[in-house]
Amino acid sequence: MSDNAIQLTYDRGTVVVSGGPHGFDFQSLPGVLFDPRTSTHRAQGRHYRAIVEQLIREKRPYEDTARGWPAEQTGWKLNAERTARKYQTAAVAAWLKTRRGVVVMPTGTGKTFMAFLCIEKVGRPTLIVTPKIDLMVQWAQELERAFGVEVGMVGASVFDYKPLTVTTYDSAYIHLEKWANRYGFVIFDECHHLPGMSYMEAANAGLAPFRLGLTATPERADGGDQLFPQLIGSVVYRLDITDVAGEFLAPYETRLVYIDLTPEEMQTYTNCREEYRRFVADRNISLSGPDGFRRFLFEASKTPDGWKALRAYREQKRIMQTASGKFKLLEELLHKHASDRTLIFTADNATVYNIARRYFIPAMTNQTRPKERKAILDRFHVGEYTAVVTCQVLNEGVDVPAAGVGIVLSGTGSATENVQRLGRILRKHGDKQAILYEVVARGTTEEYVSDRRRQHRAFGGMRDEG
Amino acid sequence: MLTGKLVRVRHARNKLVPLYVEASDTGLQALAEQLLLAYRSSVSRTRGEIEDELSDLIPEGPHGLLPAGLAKLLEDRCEFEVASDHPPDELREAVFKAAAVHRADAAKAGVPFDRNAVLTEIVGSLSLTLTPSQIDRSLFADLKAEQRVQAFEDISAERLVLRYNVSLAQAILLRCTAMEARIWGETPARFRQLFRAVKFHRLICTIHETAGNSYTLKLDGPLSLFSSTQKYGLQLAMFLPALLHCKAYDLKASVRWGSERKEKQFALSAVDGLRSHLADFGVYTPPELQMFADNFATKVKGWVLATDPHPIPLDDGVWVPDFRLTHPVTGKEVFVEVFGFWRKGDIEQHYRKLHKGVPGKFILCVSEQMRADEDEEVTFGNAVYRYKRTPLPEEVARLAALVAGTGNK
Repeated sequence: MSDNAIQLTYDRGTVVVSGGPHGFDFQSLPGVLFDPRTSTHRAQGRHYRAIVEQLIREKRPYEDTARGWPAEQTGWKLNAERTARKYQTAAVAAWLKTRRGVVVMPTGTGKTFMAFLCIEKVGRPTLIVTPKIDLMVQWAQELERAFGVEVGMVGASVFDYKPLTVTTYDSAYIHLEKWANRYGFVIFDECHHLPGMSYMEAANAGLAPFRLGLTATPERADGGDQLFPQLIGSVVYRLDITDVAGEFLAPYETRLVYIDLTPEEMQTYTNCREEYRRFVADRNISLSGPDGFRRFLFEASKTPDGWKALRAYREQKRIMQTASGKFKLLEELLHKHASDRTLIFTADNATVYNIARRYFIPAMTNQTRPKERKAILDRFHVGEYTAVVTCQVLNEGVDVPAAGVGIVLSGTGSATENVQRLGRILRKHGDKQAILYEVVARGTTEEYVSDRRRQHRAFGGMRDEG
Repeated sequence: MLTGKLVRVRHARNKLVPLYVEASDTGLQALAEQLLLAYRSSVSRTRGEIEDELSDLIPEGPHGLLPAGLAKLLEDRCEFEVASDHPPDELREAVFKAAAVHRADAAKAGVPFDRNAVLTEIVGSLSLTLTPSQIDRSLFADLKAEQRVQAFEDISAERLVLRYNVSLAQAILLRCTAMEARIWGETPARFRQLFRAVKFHRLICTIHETAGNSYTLKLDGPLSLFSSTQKYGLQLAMFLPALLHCKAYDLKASVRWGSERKEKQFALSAVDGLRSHLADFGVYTPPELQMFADNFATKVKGWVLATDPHPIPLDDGVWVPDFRLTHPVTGKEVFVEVFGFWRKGDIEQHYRKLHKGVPGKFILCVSEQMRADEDEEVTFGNAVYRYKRTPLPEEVARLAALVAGTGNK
């Protein structure tokens, strides 16, 4: 230990530099500023690598207590079930040149596996940051399978840091003081989420010298992608959809199925609809206008009349979305597809739990803890469960390769949502033929909603089974 | 605390003005009483049931924000439990697995799926003492809406309304990037309490003496040096109740508001009448200190003693001595802190910090009688005065001369 060694210490997401030979100019180190509040010299965690590199280059003695992860190899080994595709190997090679940077690959081309290869090569405690709880669970599951080590999770009331850990952008930001100096390698999944005002603090605070960003869509409307070089590194590899299309998706068909409301349902539906439409018309609100629905809510909150109108609105929507005919049809479909793997989609949590209770089908909602989600997906995968019911949880990103049947009982008019729901059952798995049923209550506004959400070429050949 | 959706504010150009409520408003008191009534009888009921009961008190839309906010504060005072005869997740696993098998068998046999058969099978296979209908009820007992209230910590309607106002201010501070508070005419003990809170909430504080016997505290966090961030909003909001104990203060905060995160200003002062809900501990000033100050003035010539607080920034935190001694001839200053109960380790650590931060400018007075550990003998330099019953002014003056090197004048 040298008397005038430069000291690097860690302070809540920053690196504090002190000591050193008399008169040493701390601000000659990358990113280091004088902090008048504490009379210290301080840098964002992200400059850690550059600071150390410069100290080594200038042959200055330094003592580093900032780094909170061990300097030795973790020794994680991928089990050899899977071989890399050519473009995955190329992506890894491109990234390894600086061990920093963003890799752009289309959805479904194996970004995750590419990241696994990097984790094995780097061999340092690794944190993976994902946008959503489901993706966190999915990463944890696949990491455990691939490396055979226990994987920690932080998010959704789970708080368990391990050398290999998956978290969400939200949790990474909230708890950055806790993890920023404990991981040598950080992976940002769907990294186009990172350059927001809050989330990027996680990348600023982290000391990790090695960084990998994964995305299919790096460009951001706000120009935030300009920040990639400082937060993660530049784009080091890019694979185009046209390079790989056609090979990886299952063949599918989509079917539109109509059900009728019972006479009583139709009666209540019509009455409720008239009631709220009268209110809307009396107040001169155009519901199709840009701000129409917000205005309706506002006007409705002011008078008892309005309250009633709002209740009527909710009631007609409820009848349409949870018509008894839909449940009868659901029973038939479950019977028909008893030996397939089925995903059931609804518009709201209440219906999810209603179905879960009536038919004893596992439910996945925002209230389902990560551990249970993981268990459900595992059992679904091996066939212990043959159906899962969900509302928005499985819309984006999560792989459910075994699923071959989708049943959309209700949903929004969003084409994106519909395409994503379809996407869940399209992962190639054996020689399955995927089917997506869309159930619509005849004679209700749901018909328009359904029309709107099929405004996408994926639904071009929808068959009508009315 | 209030969630973002429940906050009620008015915009006045770039200012955010919270819509505080009047604690004496009888209509509001009545509403609070009604909500309290529901929560006082809430034990063993589910969250969903309470919500249903409250639905008549909480209108949709903007008019519902105030009652919904009050209800949220009451819900925060409830302890919830999962009321189930068997862990629901275990029940679910067993039921769903069995149901998948039953459904496949039923499809093969061409008969409808029999829900009750599944439940009956589970009772047998888990060898439970539950009835099928109990299983049915317990299946999702851990859902938020089905959790039952175990205990409710009561509060008066008036205090609830006061608590609401504080929560409103806190909900705004959640989104703030930096905060500045000016504090007038407080005791050293109060400042120590404030700086303890700063440290506890892991904030960084800089302090400046400002006109009119006041100090200005600037509060943010380590990363604020590089760019303004809302990262410390939660910590700043949690710090607020400590500040509210002060008699006279004002607070200014920069806030990024709304989905567009527009830069807004938020101000608060003692005049707004917010009352802290935290108990006010640790600001007791023992009468001996006042006696010492009085005696010092009559018995000691050559040093002038001042009792107003004088916070001194150190490397990690701020030191608030009890007294400041000034030597008019040389202009030198020595700061004095008197300890009640003490332990060797604590004093040593404190001594080292001061020795590094303000060498030759401090004296610590520790009582022989109030030592809390029985460690081996300890000896410090001149800067630590170990007194018998009460600290003697003459002795403190003698040590002050030694540490400051002013000689015996």
